[in-house]
Amino acid sequence: MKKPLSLALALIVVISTLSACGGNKEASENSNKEEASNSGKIVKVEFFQYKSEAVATYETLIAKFEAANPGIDIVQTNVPEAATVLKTRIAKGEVPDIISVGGDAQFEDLATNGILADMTNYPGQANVIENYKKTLQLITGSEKLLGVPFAANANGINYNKDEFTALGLTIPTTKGEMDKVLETIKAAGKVPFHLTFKDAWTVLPAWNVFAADLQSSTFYADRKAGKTTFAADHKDLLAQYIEFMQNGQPGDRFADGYNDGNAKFAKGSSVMYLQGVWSIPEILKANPDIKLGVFPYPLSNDKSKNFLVSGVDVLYSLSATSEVTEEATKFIDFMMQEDNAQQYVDEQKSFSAIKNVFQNDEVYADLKPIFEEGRVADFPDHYINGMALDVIMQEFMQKKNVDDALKKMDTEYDQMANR
Amino acid sequence: MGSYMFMVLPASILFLIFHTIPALMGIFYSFTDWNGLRPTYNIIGFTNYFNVFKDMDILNAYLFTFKFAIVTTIIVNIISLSIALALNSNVKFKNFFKGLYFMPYILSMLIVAYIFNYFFANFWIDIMGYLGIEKWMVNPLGNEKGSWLAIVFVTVWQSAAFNTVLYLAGLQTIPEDLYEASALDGANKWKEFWGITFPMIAPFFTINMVLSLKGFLQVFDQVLALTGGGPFGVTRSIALLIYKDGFSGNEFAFQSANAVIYFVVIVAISFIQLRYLQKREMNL
Repeated sequence: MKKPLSLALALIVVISTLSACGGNKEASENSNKEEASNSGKIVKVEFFQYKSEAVATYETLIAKFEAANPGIDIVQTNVPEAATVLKTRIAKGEVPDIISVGGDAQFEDLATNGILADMTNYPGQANVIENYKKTLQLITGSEKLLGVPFAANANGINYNKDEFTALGLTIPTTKGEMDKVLETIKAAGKVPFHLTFKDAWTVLPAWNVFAADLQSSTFYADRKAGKTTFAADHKDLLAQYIEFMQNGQPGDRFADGYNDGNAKFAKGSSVMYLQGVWSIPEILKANPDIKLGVFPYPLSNDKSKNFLVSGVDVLYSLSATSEVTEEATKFIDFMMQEDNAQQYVDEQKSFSAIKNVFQNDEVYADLKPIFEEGRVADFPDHYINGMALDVIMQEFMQKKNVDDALKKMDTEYDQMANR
Repeated sequence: MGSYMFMVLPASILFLIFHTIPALMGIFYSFTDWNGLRPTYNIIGFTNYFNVFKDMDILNAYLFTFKFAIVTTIIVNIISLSIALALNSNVKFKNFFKGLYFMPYILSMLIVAYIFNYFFANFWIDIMGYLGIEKWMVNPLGNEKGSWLAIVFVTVWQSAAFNTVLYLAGLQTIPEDLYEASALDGANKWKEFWGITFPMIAPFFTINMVLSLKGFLQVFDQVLALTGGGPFGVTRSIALLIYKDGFSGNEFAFQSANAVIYFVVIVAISFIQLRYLQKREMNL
């Protein structure tokens, strides 16, 4: 019995550790077939995009584009676990012609590994708000633009308008006003924030604003040069952050994850909710009648320092190895036309990175002046993509030990730099 | 001879293409510095292997995985042997209970995990409140100390069925006259178990122990679905770490090295376990 069993053991282990590679093979065979049928006069352009919410919007826009350009067939690819799928496909050398991702760690990986074409001289860049182009440059650490920003998100505090009216509250604009709002809510026996620490990343939306508003402006450059550490610069920041986060629901704050939190906030478990605007469609799904608003975090008494954190939510980039770049560029041109960009932000409830295209939904009425004023900052965690910041902060939320958290941040930062 | 080849060859070719070649490729990449994305890579020898031993995340994943696998193996075997003994006796509706106990194994681990995810997030807190255990009125999946026990619980619930079937098969191989003889000698149930039943099913005990430990060392789906490795990484199993950091953390070559080491470790453990338990079978 011994021999067949250990052989079987060995095989089972091999299967389970490497089955992902087997899966890739099938995928590549399929796309090879697709390529073979490309020989007709219709040019196929693969458009890989990561937002499952946007599939229907893109379908209508693609139909409109194809009607105007009969020689081009845009194939939209949207799969679950898009980041992993894209990575395995690139590993096999099957790079989609147009890649649409967010301005995040994944984009950094694609850009710094030479997957994407240089779009610095793409004419459409002229219509994009400068700040978002700078964001892309900061993420990739290069002067080149390896993509063109299309849509943006915003990370403020979601609030329940009816609850605010019932408690006689107005939107706080300074730290002092915010403290009063929190006191009023607690005095009325209600919960200010519904926290969802079971999912580690849900601690980050708030952290990003604390870092954007409170860390010294040259922190990341200084940290890179070894002139400062997290322990030296972030001590006060973390102390304020943990104090702020104590306004959560009573009981276990690690019980719910992101999805539970969206549903519970929608049903009135708290007056405010610390999530970016990406959560709003989900909240409305859980309770279509809720009246929502968003305001920027008031963390400082100096109003000009209370930034709205906004990042690139959707960008378009081209494969460096695509053979249909001309047709692919045509589609990007089409998406960047004002009417199409407007349709996208209207349906997706996001913000446009294109000049003169605005989000007019009443949910965002409080944010419009902030955008106009330009009091907008980028997500600070983009600078430290390789650090498992969510995990460190989740642990910090449970143990509440500022010095431990700072030490971990410095250790992980150094490790990341060594890689 | 010819007809045997006809059956063996297609299987071998498929096996070679989908298992052996990817496995060899994985071993090859573990000697490179490929991050999974870059078009080029360099061969760097054993550097990845040395670095695996310096990585705290990997060490913690090993500690969690072994703790989980050993505890789960023991509990699963105790429970499934007890159920098998009960089902082998003369109870009414025996086949109904057999079917009932086998149900969880038919369900996919992911489905089971999502059901329990809901259970822990909603009912668990209420049940503990009803029982008045205030200390436990938290979602164990989000708790540093409780999360691994919750994963053990769900895994035992799902996988005890399979071991029960193996033990049942073993119990049916024991000749009835042995029990009759021991009854004549006046042995009680306890003595009967240790004197007859357990030695007679020793080979089944061996295979159950080896299969469970090997399976639980590879724990992946339930962790991914229940906690995703959280809270703050305390339930990250080795397989989960290899998958997550290898594919989305740009450590493809490094985690391939980890996978190769892990493979060797599991084969070695299964081998030692088999040797030891089979020797014990002889002595009984």
